[in-house]
Amino acid sequence: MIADPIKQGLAKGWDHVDGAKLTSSQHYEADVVIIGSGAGGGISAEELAKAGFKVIVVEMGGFKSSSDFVMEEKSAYPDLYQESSGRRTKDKAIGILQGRTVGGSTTVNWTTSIRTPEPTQQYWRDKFGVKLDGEDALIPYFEKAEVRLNIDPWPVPPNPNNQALLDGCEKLGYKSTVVSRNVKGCANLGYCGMGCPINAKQSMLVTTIPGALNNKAKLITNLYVQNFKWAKDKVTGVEALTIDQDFQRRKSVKVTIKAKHYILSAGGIGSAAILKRSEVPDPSERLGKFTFLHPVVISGALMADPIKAHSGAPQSIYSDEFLFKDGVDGKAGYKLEVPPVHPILIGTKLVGYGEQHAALMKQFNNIQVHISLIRDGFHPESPGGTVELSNQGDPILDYPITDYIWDGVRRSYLSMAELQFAVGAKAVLPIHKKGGSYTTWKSAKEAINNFPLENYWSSVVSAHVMGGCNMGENSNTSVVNSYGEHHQLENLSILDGSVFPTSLGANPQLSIYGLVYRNVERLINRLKP
Amino acid sequence: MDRRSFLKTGLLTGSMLVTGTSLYGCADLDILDTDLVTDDVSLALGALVPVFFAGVLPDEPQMRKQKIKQVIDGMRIAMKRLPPHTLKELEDLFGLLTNRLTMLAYTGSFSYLNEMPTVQAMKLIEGWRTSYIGLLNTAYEGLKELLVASFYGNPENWTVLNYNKPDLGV
Repeated sequence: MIADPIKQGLAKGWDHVDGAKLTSSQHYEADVVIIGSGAGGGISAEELAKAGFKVIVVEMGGFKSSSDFVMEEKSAYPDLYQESSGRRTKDKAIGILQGRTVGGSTTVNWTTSIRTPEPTQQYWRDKFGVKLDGEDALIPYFEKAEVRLNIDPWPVPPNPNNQALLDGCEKLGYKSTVVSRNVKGCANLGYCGMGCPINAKQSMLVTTIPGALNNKAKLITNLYVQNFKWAKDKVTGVEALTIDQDFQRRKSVKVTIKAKHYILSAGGIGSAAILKRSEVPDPSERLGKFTFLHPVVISGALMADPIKAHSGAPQSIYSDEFLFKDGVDGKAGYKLEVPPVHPILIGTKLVGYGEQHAALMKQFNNIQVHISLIRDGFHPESPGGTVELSNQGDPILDYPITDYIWDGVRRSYLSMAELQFAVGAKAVLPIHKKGGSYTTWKSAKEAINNFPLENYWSSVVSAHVMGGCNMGENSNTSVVNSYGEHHQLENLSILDGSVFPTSLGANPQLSIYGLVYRNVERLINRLKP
Repeated sequence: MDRRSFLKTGLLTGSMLVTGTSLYGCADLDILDTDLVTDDVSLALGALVPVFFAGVLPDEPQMRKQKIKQVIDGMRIAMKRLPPHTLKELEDLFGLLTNRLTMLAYTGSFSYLNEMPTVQAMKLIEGWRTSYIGLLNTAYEGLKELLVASFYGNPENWTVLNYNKPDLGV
């Protein structure tokens, strides 16, 4: 029997309120309320609770734990992801995977932990005046996160899916790096994306959230924050609706929370949506804008030997060969990685339907997959997207894919196909509606160079939502300062990935941990009596 | 009005039916209480499942019928957890699937989907998949996503893939 630390913690008296079970409206008070329990909220919660503040953490998802993580997409997607994993941009051209559960996306990510690349940090210094030097340097805070979350280079040989990327890079003379992962006692199962069934992944769910609860924090789950109340230059309260077991909002049972300080950690899209619903001051007119996605395109390959890409650490190798090839603000750079291959994830992406689709699905175990994450936000033709609100108040991201990004898409398809042929792919299948099954590099290259690149033809996804409340030292060009302090509302901090002024060029979790460790330390010093 | 603009108008009208909002988070939530998979929608989907899963559905008629029902039931369960704005869009999509004028425009037949031979239903799906009208592409993608998730999310169907999840011995 695998021990479930969440069930154990609840049994010993953690202060948890399940919004879905409340039968009447409630009011709570605290020193600090934190909205969101993911990478930003988790780190903030533990640090503030340990420092002796009365903390309330609010999470819109449920309090699911290892006993619920049964390694099936059918339950994981609706239970743990925003919009049952079906979130899409306004024009539906990009699918967005984002966590919605205690621990946020850290509960469902693939554990890849990379420090913010130096060229990205330099761009933020140069363009936004972000303070990242001297005592503001992030390195000590990355180190702190690496110790807290057991982040180390993965010592186990890559699974065949990752091995194909490593071998391809070696054959073509490209850079490659072993992924650092936040795991402890990992059994190399491959199901990180559905919640770790053995609590090996050191997500916020099993580390900082229990750390906060052990220090008397209160956690309220299944609670949808509608808006802040504010007056003059201060937030005065939070207004929220409870959510039922099907994740639908309940009009009848509401929650209000009053605190001295308010922390927004609802992530890219979420944090901007709450501020927009609150109609807070936005003199820079940047709120919700400049939201970035690392748009991802996919290339499948059929290999002679079984790959079983569902099994083993999902990501253990990446290549930055093309990430900054043309400089930080030149042509779109891209990071090459591989994804885990599970039935729904691949079934919804493989091109076509009927017999053609079935023939590929029958070769499920022999499918190798590369993904390319395009670095967005560093060029005038890559302004990212804008968070809008539906009539129901739900956030919808309007992210038009520009020609600049499409150029990165085409080069990505080419790089991935070349890498796959370099390791003996029998056929390469770029995930594009015009894409066939190409048996030679020459034929693939010719086809890819002629692909129409426009919405819906190319399957584009994202698992990294960043920006929308960007940081900077000039209040005319940023929503918060370098420390996440809102320029207009003095008792509001934004501590999450929504403050990044561009995308990162790296999987985001460690960048969020490092920045938030630094910024919450400053906040604690500020709030101490 | 040509065929394309007619269809576009149909889709747009559906989404324009959304009414104004008095309080964010509470408007239009009535859709949550509506079962969008009506008998008509179920019949239409029943005609599309064999198109999407040709090559993996059983041939034996009773088993085949049961499998099709299973896919639709799985889809209905998944829909319960989708946000209101997505349900509104699905309501529009299902409206198209059960509209004889749409069928006439896209298949040349004035029949309902479930009255058509599979080859005609396939023509509809292929038309939407390769259409230059974004709304029809997204209709195709939306249908595919729901149906594929329902079918391949079901462990019974993993035999097609020669796949199983790890046994943790618990």
